[in-house]
Amino acid sequence: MSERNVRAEETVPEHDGEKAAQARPGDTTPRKMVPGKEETPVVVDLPKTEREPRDVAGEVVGAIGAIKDGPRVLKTYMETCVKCGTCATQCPVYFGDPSKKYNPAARSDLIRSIYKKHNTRSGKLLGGLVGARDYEDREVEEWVEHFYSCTGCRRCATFCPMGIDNSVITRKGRAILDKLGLTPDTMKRVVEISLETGNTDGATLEAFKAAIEFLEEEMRDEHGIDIKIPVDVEGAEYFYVPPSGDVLVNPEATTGIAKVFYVLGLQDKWTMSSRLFDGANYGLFTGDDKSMKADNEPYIKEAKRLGAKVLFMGECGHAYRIMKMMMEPGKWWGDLPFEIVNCMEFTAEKILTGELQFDKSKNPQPVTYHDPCNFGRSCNIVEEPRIIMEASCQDFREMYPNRGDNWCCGGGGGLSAMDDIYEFRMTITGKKKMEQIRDTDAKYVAAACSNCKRQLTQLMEYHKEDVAVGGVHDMLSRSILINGKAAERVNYDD
Amino acid sequence: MPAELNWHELMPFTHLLVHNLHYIALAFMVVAYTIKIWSILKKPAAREGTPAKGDHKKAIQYSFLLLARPDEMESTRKQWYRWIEFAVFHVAMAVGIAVAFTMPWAHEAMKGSFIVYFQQGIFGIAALIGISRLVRRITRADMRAISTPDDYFCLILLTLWMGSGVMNAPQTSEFWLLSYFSMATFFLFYVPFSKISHYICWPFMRYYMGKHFGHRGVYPKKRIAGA
Repeated sequence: MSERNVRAEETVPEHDGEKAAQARPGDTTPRKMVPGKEETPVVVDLPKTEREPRDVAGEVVGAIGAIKDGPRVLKTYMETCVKCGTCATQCPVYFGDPSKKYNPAARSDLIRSIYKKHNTRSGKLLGGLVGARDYEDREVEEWVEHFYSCTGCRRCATFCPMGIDNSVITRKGRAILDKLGLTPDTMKRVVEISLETGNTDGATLEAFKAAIEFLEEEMRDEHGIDIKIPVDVEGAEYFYVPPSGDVLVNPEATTGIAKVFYVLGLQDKWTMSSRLFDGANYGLFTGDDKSMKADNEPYIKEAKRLGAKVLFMGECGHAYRIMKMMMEPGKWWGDLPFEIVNCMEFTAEKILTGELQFDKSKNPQPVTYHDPCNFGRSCNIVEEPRIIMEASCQDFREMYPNRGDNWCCGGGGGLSAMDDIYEFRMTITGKKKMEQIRDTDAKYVAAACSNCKRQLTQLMEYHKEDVAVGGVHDMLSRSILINGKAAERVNYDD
Repeated sequence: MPAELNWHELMPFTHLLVHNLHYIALAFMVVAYTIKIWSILKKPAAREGTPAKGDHKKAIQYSFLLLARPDEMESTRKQWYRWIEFAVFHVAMAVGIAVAFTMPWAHEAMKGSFIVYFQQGIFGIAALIGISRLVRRITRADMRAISTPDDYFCLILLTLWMGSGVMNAPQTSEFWLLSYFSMATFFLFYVPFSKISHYICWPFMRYYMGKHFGHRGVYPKKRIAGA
């Protein structure tokens, strides 16, 4: 058994009060994600209980049956799909490989067909004629590949003539897998690391502090002045929560934020937390609501401890979506003494009021913007990044389609963190996005999301494209005027 | 000149079908739909507790009207003929149902040439669309992959129904009258169990879609030139 599996075994999750005393799934059977190439599997074996055989079929059918007592909309998703095929034509994964397993309607049918069999009159009476079927022994093992091939981008939802959001069904599928202990190890580990350390990279306090010091030095070199990145300042008005990648991997976004606050004279009004500097929350992707809430709660406590008036979210689509759209006041944590604002909303507003000025010549190369799905289709932050990009770059180019109609980068739904499906992401899920980027002839792609950045960076490397990938505030950082001057630095590849 | 159908000398079964069974089937469908709507309404509606970023009402309106606005969606902008197919096919179904419930008592009035040609025109086009949809469902791998027997069965039956509608419109043959009403009656019994009942869920789903995306400010979509 691998070290990873031993470790996972020690942290057996509790489900509904009952301890699931099972081993973590083993990675033993190869999974074919790309024709001709065998990859390390995500998960293939059902967890075994040490005490008695688990009634997997009963658990699956029961979990699916619970839908009929849940929200109205999911019940209608279960009872209605006209099989028009529109979703497949709009799916980035199906675009990359038109196999049945990547067809959104077919994937949703894995759950829908079982629901029909046990919970609808038509399914009970007419069975297979109306697409109803019973659960087949061990089929959940195949579900792992199906549900972890969906990027949850919701593009199919906006095109479905009925209005079926397949990403909701995907999340339900993932939730069932999670209850069975079948969440792919790579994903499970991200959740566990985040819950253990407060960030998905497992970065230490020392690493964070070193990164902050480095960034302050960089800004000193660029502008010849001290631009601080305040940390753990109680009473600061703005509590900045970026994805950890924007501190450790793509730190220019954070320097961009620091410079915005500096120019606005708010240098002493904002802070980061040395304990919580990663808004990423993979509970959204594994379908595990408990983890999602557990990962979210420390931020609320920290914002309250710091006395912040604004939870200032960074360039991270799903983190902002959870904070702004899901952490409902009165539902999760009661009334909140702060508002939730995204950094792009804030910066765009300041640009429009003329409070921020730029030297566009610092960004002469053609640049384009990739709309992260969570911003485009779940939060409607689509004009703000464009305002920033157009203000700070000389040659901004659109991808088509864009905004709420954008194509996913191929790493959505947490897939970008799954290195065991790297080949699949590079050749299939990211295929459409690669085409879109090539069509722009851009030399820089901005994406306001760490998952997108990781996927896009790997895509450019894999396809040997000479295109840099970064954030929106990265471009701003290079061209914003501070005391009338932009950054001196020229080479950003160092 | 073709023979004219004598409505007063119909075979007993045809008479029973057109004047009785047909309405029993309708009553059955109404009851089945009432139960379905009740079962949907008794479930809790999803709640958005966060402050709204957009206008719910406008978004819900937009969500419903998307059906009639092929220019609003990239998929229908690129494949406008599919939208026309969809529109004509669904209008023909509505006309078919209307004819089935009008003809038994207004058959004299429906013998006018304009009404006959209109029926034949729309039913004929719908039958052709049905055939093309069937061919697409059979020949395209992506469509085959998601199709159930019900999908084929409904499409074949609706296409045949439309075809019988073309033949029945001039009211010249009891055979076509029987065919048309047999299928119409069968549908009324079968529809609550088949995918054709999608239109019962459609308003709920579009409403939710509009409310959800409206809350988040995604709907109504802003039209951006070239986007």
